[in-house]
Amino acid sequence: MAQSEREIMQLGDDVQRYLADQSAFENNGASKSPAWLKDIRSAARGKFTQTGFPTIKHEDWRFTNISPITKTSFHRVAENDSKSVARTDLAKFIIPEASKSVLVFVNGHFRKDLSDMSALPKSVSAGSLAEFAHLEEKVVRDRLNKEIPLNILPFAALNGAFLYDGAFVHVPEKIKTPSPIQLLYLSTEDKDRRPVAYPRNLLLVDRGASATVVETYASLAEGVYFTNAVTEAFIEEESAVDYIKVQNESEKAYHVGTMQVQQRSRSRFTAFSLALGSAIARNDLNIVIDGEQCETMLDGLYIPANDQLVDHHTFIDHTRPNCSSREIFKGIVAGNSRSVFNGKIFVRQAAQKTDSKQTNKNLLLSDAAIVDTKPQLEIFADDVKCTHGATVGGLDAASLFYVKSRGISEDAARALLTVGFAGEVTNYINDEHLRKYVDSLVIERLREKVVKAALPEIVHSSSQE
Amino acid sequence: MLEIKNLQASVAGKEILRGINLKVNAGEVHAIMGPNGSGKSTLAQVLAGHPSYEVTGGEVLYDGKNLLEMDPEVRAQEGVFLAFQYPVEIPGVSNSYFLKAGLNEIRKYKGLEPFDAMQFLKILKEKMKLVEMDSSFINRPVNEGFSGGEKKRNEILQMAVLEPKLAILDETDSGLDIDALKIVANGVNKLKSPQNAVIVVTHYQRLLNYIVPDFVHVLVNGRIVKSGGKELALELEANGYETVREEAETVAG
Repeated sequence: MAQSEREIMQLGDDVQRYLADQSAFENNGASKSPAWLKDIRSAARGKFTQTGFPTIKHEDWRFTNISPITKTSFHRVAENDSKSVARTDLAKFIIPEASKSVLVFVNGHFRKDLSDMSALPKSVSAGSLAEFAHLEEKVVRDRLNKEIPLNILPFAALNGAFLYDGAFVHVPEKIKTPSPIQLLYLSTEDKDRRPVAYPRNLLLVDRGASATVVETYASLAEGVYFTNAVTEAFIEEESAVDYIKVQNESEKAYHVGTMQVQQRSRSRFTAFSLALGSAIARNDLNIVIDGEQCETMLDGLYIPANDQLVDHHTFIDHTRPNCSSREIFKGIVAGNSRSVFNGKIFVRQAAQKTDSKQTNKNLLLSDAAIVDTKPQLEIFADDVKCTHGATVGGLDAASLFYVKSRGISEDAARALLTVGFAGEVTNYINDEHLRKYVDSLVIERLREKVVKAALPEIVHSSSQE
Repeated sequence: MLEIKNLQASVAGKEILRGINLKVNAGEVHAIMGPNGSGKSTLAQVLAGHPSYEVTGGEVLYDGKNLLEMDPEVRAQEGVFLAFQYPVEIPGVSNSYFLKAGLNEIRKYKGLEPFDAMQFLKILKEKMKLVEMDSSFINRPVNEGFSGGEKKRNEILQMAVLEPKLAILDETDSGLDIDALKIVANGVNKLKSPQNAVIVVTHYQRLLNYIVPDFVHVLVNGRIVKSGGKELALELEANGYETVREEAETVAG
């Protein structure tokens, strides 16, 4: 008992520090918020106070020790301290197709001067959540923080306690956005203090509308900082959303991201999570299919190297009949790195005729790397078609032999097959431009951190059809 | 060019080749026939250096060098080519990149300058005509989504681009319809020269109507039990492998 008491004490210290910072925030930076938003923060603060930070004794955090995050003191960066960044600094982070539909945030602060929404129709609302909390108060208030189970997501609760700004995107009925909307989160270096940001994104896609959204997290310096982001998406009836998350933070940074999706009848949601950066990165992707005849496609690729840890926890909750979901996550795990995949598919009693398929494949490139994978299927309906599977291994010996038998050296053959392993999953990204964008980041990553030999561009069979 | 002496090989502890002897000279076409499980494909794989097969005895000389000591990529660089019975799919990697990488490594090995993208594309397009492949295959991922016939044609395309001295075709005819068979055979015939040699491994005589062998060898239970001219293939087609098998057993017994 003495030991666990000590742990609680220690945990308490970490939590105390965040609570003190939250009080300071409430009394200073966030004092302009409307009362209802203050109430949301206060309730989330309460939840976080109850739960504290998770430890490896919690099942959902068994393989991901976050003590390096809780032991570090982080500080919110004042808005004025983030002004040094200019549009020219952004060129390499902005997707060309989204150059006129991009919202830019620096250390968590919205930068209107760096953002450009000119490609979007007037009917689409896109901008700072803090602003839209006033401009579209009812819409925001009805949805914000409504569906997230904060009691089981301590980092989302912490984010809620600091909920102030982030991206707000609202696509009204039957509107199709003409270009992908990019939400670009950049962190800068602070020599004396380690920055923390709590972005909160709210994505509303109304009946019959469609949108493509890319969230990018990157940094302008290779420093230590902490991003604790939450994205909520409400995908209404007959709407279609393609969503991509690119986590390309500094390799010294910490990233915890939670996504909570509500899907209504006959909607289609595809998501792709690309995880490249961070010392410790954790993504929780929770999709509640709360309607019939929905399609859900949740895919991802993680490429940790060196001492990185990348953790994906996904949860697809089938609550209604006649829906299909497909999930493919792949990992290329190198160096001393570690990857965690926990994919849960829940099929409730009412969700008859569910068709669900989940796969997790891991390419283990070094003896020192560790992969933990746990596909979970919990089915309470009797008329369903569900499969899941996971693999961990090296490159296929028969494929290696085939490539080498064409005169290609061992290193180059391994490089080719590693590219092929990645290409197999990026192939599921619908939008050709975004697929190319993700492919280029994958190749850059493999070239810099994983593979020594020359690398080809990724090609896809579907793009030729 | 190739001299196989008393070659023995096993896979997962199971003996498959039990003493193969074969001599192939430049300009010759050899057919290796035999019933299922006789070791035909094992022989092809062992010559190309498949790591799953363990050579337990004998030797293979290729241009006077010890072939068995070479890594698979070095064998390819030395001019050995295996057309696979089951070509492997490589998603994400284009056919042209794959072939250019192979060809340039072979050229580097020979001390030649690598081809740039333009030079290579010109060669690739010429060779694609030879096997009647559509240019859309240039940028498709290697073998991914190809039909059985397209995969086999792609193997012959690779052979055409890499210009091997010794080509081994492992059941290239399996899964091909008659039109595809003719195209593949035509490609192989056009690549034949007095400087190179071809070993055709096949279960059926059909392919040998189009790629006419100088010698036919019958492999049964890991040994060559009978050798002859092209007429031996016809004889096998008429009488099946049973007669040779019986002859072999009589000899062995």
